[in-house]
Amino acid sequence: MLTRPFGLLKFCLLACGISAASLANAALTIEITQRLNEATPIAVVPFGGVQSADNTGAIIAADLDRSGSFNVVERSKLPSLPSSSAEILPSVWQSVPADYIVVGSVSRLPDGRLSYRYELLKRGGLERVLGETFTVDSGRARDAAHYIADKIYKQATGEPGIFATKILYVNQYNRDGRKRYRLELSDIDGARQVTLLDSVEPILSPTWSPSARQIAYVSFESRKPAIFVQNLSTRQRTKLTDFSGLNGAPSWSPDGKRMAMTLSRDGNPELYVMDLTTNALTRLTNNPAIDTEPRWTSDGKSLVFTSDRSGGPQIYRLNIATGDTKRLTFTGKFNARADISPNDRHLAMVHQAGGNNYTIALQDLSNGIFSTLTDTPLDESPSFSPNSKMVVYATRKGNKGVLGIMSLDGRFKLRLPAVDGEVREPVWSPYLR
Amino acid sequence: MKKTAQIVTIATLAISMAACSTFRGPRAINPNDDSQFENLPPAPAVEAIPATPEAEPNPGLIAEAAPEAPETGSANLASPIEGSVIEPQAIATDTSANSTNTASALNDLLKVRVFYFGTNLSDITALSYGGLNAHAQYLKGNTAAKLQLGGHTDERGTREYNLALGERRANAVARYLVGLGVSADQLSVVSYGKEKPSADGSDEESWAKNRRVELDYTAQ
Repeated sequence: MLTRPFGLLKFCLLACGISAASLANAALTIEITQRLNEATPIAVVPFGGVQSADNTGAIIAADLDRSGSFNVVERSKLPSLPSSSAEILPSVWQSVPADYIVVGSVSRLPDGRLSYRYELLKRGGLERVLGETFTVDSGRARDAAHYIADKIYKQATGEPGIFATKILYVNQYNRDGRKRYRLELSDIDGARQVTLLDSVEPILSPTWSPSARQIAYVSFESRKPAIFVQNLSTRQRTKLTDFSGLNGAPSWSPDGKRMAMTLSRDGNPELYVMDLTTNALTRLTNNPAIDTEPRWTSDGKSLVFTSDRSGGPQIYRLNIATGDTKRLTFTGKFNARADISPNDRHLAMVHQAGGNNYTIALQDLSNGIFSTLTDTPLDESPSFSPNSKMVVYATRKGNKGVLGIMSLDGRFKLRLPAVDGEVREPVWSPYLR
Repeated sequence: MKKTAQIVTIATLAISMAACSTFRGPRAINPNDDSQFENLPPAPAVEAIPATPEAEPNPGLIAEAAPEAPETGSANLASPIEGSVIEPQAIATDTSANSTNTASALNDLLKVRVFYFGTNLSDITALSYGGLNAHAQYLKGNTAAKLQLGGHTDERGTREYNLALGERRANAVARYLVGLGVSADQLSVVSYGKEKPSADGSDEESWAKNRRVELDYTAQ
């Protein structure tokens, strides 16, 4: 019998409240591979007061740095380490090459909770453009740091930040000479990774419910594909479909009430929608071609999907009410597994760029402009950030599967390599509310 | 070492994004409150069905000679047939009524259990006819026999599309066998897409070996 000592240990550590950094064997680490010159310079001073494993300021700095919109001033270039605006000497700080300065501190309340105070100051008059105090439970120091980073990002760019979001991905690893598969959940910076499922059979096509409380995925654990739904708080799993043939490509409707999927129970891969209250199925396509990989538009009225009805796989849009289907992609012979941005503006997809190069491409749905974002040969599974500004995808480094994050213009890129095994099929969570 | 790997409780997922700048503290466990992520039970672990270990290859299973390069198919049907021990039951049942020579040839062809396909294609190639014809003959003579057809693809392209393509390949083999008079009730189809490659490389040779349908008798 196979035991799961690591999982149990993790659970114990978790219960004991001990940080287990060195034990996270499947966690992701981040390398910035391509940066922008015009990013806003910002100084994030290490926070004063009580700090847990990572300084709050360091987590905020890393978040902002990885957003592509900021360049964080090196700590060695800070003239002093103030914890509040009152401690800043304007004469000294005016020479720091930063448009913004972040200062703050943390204190522990008698009941054990953590109290945060932070300020965002603008260069010039060093006026405070943002300042807050708040209190969190003692186990939420990283949440607090991501919250502050989101606030700063919003203040400086006008766009919502995505630092408090999560990522779901599949990790393939080897144990006892056999391939195994884990479904993993972590913060978008790779921290706080937890295993949701561990299986000897493939796991694929993970997807989020719009509330981010549940996920769905395909598991071959019964030696054939079945769609499962899993509750993230209870870990409880339910088998949603187990039809003859394919049970694949689950995608939640924006209202959370329906699930689009691919089934071949009627003989050929077709798109279906299941009402999650009644489990009633509605078949949407009827075509001898492969129809698969559906994704909802934000109004819940249409699906974009992959079909090879024209010969090779291309992306189509289906109006669910009328059945009208329109081909969207015409560049190249292979375009598949599209994700549509939450603002409905862009389509990201896997594109055969010629030869055996499968790259991530973007199509602007407002004007049809098609651009290739990556130049690595076997890229997969693009997934938009909830603010529609970044894409996470699976790529290769050497012979290993890793995750990449990039801006929509492809100019800013991060890589998240797995420490153990390879990672693939990343899915960015919705905003967590 | 970077501390990006810190494992702590996920705690509550949701940070208050509201205008209110106070975090909601830890809430009492409420079964309907999914944002409460503390004290998670351990992740479920799914183990293989013990009766069907996939790690050890079936000694009687022989692949149709894998093509060296995608479409060339240098397979010589005669060569992979030589010298391997035949699965005893399958053969004994089948050969009882036949002459020794015919039985031997049929037995050899029955050992071919893997059939290959061109890139993004599900057409059965001429190289597969001999082996598939033998399996058809066996299935017709042994109506209790059950055959599972496992469809596979190479690693190029997307996972769900490849699941569909693998199923298309397995269905093509099923249709071919039914066309030869095999009862559809004896056949089942499963596609693994690109999830279970038989060769791990990222080159033409590996891809050619991975575009395949594997025959697996679940009952003799």
